[in-house]
Amino acid sequence: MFKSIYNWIDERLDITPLWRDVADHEVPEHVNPAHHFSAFVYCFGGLTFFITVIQILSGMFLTMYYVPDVIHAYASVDYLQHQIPFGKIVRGMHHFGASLVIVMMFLHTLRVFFTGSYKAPREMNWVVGMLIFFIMLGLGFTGYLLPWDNKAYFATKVGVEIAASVPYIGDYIASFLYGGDIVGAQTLTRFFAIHVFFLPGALIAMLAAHFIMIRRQGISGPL
Amino acid sequence: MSNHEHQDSKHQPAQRNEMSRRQFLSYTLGGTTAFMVGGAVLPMVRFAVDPLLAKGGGATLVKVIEESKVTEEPQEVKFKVSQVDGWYKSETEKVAWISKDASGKVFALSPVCKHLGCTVFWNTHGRNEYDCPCHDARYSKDGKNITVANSPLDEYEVDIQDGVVYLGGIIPNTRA
Amino acid sequence: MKFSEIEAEQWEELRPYLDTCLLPVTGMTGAESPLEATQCLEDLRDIMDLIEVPYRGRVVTYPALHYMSEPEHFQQALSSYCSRLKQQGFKYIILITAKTNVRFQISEADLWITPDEDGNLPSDADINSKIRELWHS
Repeated sequence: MFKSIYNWIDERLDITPLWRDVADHEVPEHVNPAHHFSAFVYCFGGLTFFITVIQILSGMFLTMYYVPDVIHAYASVDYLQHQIPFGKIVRGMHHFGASLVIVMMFLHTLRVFFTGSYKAPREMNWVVGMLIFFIMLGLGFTGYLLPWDNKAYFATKVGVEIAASVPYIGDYIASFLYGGDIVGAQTLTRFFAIHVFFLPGALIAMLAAHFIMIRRQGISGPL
Repeated sequence: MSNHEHQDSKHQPAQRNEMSRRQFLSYTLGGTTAFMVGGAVLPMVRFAVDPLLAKGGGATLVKVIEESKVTEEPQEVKFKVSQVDGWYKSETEKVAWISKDASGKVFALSPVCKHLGCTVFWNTHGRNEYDCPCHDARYSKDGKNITVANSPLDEYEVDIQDGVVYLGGIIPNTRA
Repeated sequence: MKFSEIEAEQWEELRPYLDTCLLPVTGMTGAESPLEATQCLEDLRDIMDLIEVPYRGRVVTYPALHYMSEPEHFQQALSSYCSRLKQQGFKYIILITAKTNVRFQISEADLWITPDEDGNLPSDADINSKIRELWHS
């Protein structure tokens, strides 16, 4: 049945080349762990993407219960984690996934570095990768505040104080992030907006650029 | 020859061996992918649809009195409403004056005066009206405002099941 | 309603209707431990609910007198507060306490609401009739 639906659509829209282009390309021997087990190091980029997808999905589901408000934020997180079935798991995915994505991204960066894959003609992809790295750090920093517990509060305070130590513009950065003079209601909504709309938007754009470039240029050759 | 073919069809199950390597691999791969996607997505879906599966949804109606005890003369009933709305919990004690109209329909009025919020009582001056002790506002048995206040008393949603009266939320007066 | 619930721009409009002052007397002496003080205030709140809720449209609750000095001084102080509250525009003054031993003759006050000797709160009907009598006298 799926086949006939697929055929019906394919006849009209000719979709086969679209996904063939994405899915059907040969994995070079030096990248395939079936040939050389050590090639597993080439999996880290894919794993980073896989966890990112989980982060986006679990984050979308978490916002069904979360409110970014100083009075209710903690209560809503407490409620979604302890009262809703699977709340522990969904929040757990987002919480632990956040650490794991950094780990995977770091390993991916090391692989790219030690295989020399950043060299010409792939310099731009390295730069985009670095941007993704900073976006991920930003996501981690802004997301950390959202449960509005003590740890979140002081981590943000310390984080913004570090930003405030930047010469000349430090104070401006700090009051931009605070949305005022203290870590408070305005900071929380700001961080929520940045965490949920701005950075994910930027991340998706950067990931698209990362993937388009790697398809254009192909995986770098064996060592 | 025909004999041979006959034998072949007898061994039909053996055809399963003819699943190609490619087919086997794609089934395995598809199965594994489905398992992993399911593992990640099912908890999230269960998490999201929880309100559908939560028991006792809908408006919180509270049992207050047996229908047979409701008379044409209004009676005061007190009841507790506990509302749990996600992480907001509240329990409030409410008062209603409950009576039947001429056609036997049960209705319940909230005794909060529409003037400045005092509590009205039925028939304290013997006029068969609701009287407010504070500024002498008066309301008819249907809650219609007669003096001082400029809107009628609010009503409670009423539901009668198996001869028992249940009261729900406050609604604007429908009778006056 | 409570003194703090009245908004500045509403006061002139509400003033003719809010002609009764509820003045709570906690009756502490300073010898109370924090737990006892909490208990005193909770008891006071419970008895005040009997008046504040049903008569909120006509009664203004003032901040409480928490501590009590020597009885004679306190009685004097209390009557001077009451007379000033009346000068200020209140027609009736209701004093309320949750203590059984706090009860003075205050001519300026119109009504005392207190628990009985055993500390039981007065009934709704009891308070109701007292207040009606006060307002209709």
